[in-house]
Amino acid sequence: MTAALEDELSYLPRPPLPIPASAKPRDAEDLGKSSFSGVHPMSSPSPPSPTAPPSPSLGAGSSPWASPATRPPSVITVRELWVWAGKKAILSDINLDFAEREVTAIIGPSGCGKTTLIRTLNRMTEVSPGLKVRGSIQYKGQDIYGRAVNPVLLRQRVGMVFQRPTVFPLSVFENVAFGLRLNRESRDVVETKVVDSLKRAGLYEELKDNLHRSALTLSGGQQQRLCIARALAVNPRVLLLDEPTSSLDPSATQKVEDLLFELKREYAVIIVTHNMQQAARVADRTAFLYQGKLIEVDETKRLFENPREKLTESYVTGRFG
Amino acid sequence: MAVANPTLAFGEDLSYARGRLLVRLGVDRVIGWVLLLAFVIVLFPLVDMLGWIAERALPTFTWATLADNQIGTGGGLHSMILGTLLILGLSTGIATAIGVLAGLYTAEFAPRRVAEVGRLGGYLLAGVPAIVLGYFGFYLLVLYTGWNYNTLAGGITLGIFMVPFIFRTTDLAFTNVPHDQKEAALAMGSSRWQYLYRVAFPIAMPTMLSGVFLAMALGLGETAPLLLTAGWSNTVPTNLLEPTGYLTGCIWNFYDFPSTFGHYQTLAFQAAFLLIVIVVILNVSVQVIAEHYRRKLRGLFA
Ligand SMILES: Nc1ncnc2c1ncn2[C@@H]1O[C@H](COP(=O)(O)OP(=O)(O)O)[C@@H](O)[C@H]1O
Ligand SMILES: [Mg+2]
Repeated sequence: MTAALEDELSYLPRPPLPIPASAKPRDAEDLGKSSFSGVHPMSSPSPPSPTAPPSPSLGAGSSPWASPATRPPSVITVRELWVWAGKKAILSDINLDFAEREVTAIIGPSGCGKTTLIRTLNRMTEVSPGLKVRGSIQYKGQDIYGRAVNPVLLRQRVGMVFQRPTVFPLSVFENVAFGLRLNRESRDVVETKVVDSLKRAGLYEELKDNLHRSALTLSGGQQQRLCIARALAVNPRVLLLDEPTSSLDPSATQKVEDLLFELKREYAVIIVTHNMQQAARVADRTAFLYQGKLIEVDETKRLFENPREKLTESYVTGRFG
Repeated sequence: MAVANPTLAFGEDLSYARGRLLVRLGVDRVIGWVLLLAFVIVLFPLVDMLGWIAERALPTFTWATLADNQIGTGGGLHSMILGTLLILGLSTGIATAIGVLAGLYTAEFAPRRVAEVGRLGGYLLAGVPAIVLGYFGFYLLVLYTGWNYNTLAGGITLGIFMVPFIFRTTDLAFTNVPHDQKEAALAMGSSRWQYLYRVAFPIAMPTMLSGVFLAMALGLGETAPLLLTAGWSNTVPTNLLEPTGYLTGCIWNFYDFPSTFGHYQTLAFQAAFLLIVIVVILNVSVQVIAEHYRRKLRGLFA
């Protein structure tokens, strides 16, 4: 399995896979699955960007985009990422590291490519027709667009929460159990993990009296936290949130933000927002995206108070947006 | 009634000018009456017809009407009821299998162009007069096969008649599933089939079920395609390759017998009564299902 992945190595060196011997297969970080044989455009060897492939010394942690050694290890590494819709580049040459146990905010004016960027991270871009993805995205050292990578495993490791709460028309319990049922977990495991995930999402106390009510009867804020619980149930390492509070009222927003602080103890959290106060409140690091280009990424405080780029400064001071 | 108030300054009086108010009240009232009249005109034939049929069907309606075969100028509707159920069962099975698969294909799998052509085909098939389908069934399933008039041919032909309705509602049911749901399911790691089975199907189910029931109600009322394919018999067929009777055929055969053979006409009225009862049951079921799921899925399509 590892060998198959190794064959797919595009143009970046990567460390061997850290698979704990005790880990069950589905908890392992290895995304490969021998039966998977899909060919993705990304496996085409030549990147479309005119820049030369990065030098072999350019690994996670030593890149100019990562900050000094104090940072936790990177879980997702994006290198020379381009996304094309026909002839139009939606994302141009993005290089970015996302670290474990950190909240990274992605900010930028609407239409700048924030949603597209996080959708490349769990291959949801494949669901939108007409998008071409080029470059390299690694999850714990594995090229996620590699031939041997099973997108199902990837999407469970890299969970996603959408702008509008999208609960399934099932009970609260069955919503959280959704991914576990896909994995054919036993009844006991389902039971424990559903309760555990609801607790982590701060919903258990509110809903424990009737876990079998329809999820559609919950408030918007509860639905959004249920979506988070649903993603947590399948044991992710990374959570992608696309403007998760844009349809919520202030008090529901507050609850979701509180939850993010809890979650970052265990997960890498990547949140898209076009609310700069939100980024300032919740994020350790913030990336500013403008017209498909990554203008600047830095510790949140620094990015807001002392940006390196003129463009960042005008955006965070509200001069456009 | 509002009257201009002289204590108010110019432009502060909010009431209608005097004559305008009377006109407005009058117009409202007249429109109300016209709408009520239209409503009564719609309902009157229905109520009148039901009374007219019940009056002739019910006085002699006994257990024997359901349990006896029609013999000579006597007997009941037994073989025709069974024939109707048999043909309806066959046609519903065939039409549901084909219609649901075809609808799923156009909604979820077909390239956009192919889906559009498929939908157009469905509309065209729905527009083909039933008797033309009957003629086609007669040629293919009665003459060409050499089976003569038979129950199976009736079921297949009626199935073809019903397919476009089930196809269309299934297509609609699946295309109406909110796209969010698909994204969410795939983002949870579902395959396309898991998404269809676990998320889309339950959401599409009530619409599909309504489509099947409505197609059944329409098929139940068809006479021409059956006369040309299932033929006629006044005994219960012992296998599917024999002809059979059916309720609509009973009306067609017996409606114009002179009243000296009064019992024939009564049978026709009793068949009509049963048809209406079954159609009402089907339609009420559709309403009950729709209401149940409307409550259950409230908020999903917001
Ligand atoms: N599937 C697609 N096909 C074509 N263009 C797209 C597609 N998805 C996004 N875009 C375009 O890419 C740009 C960035 O979109 P998006 O990532 O949604 O921005 P943001 O989330 O920052 O508002 C927009 O101009 C949008 O129209
Ligand atoms: Mg967006």
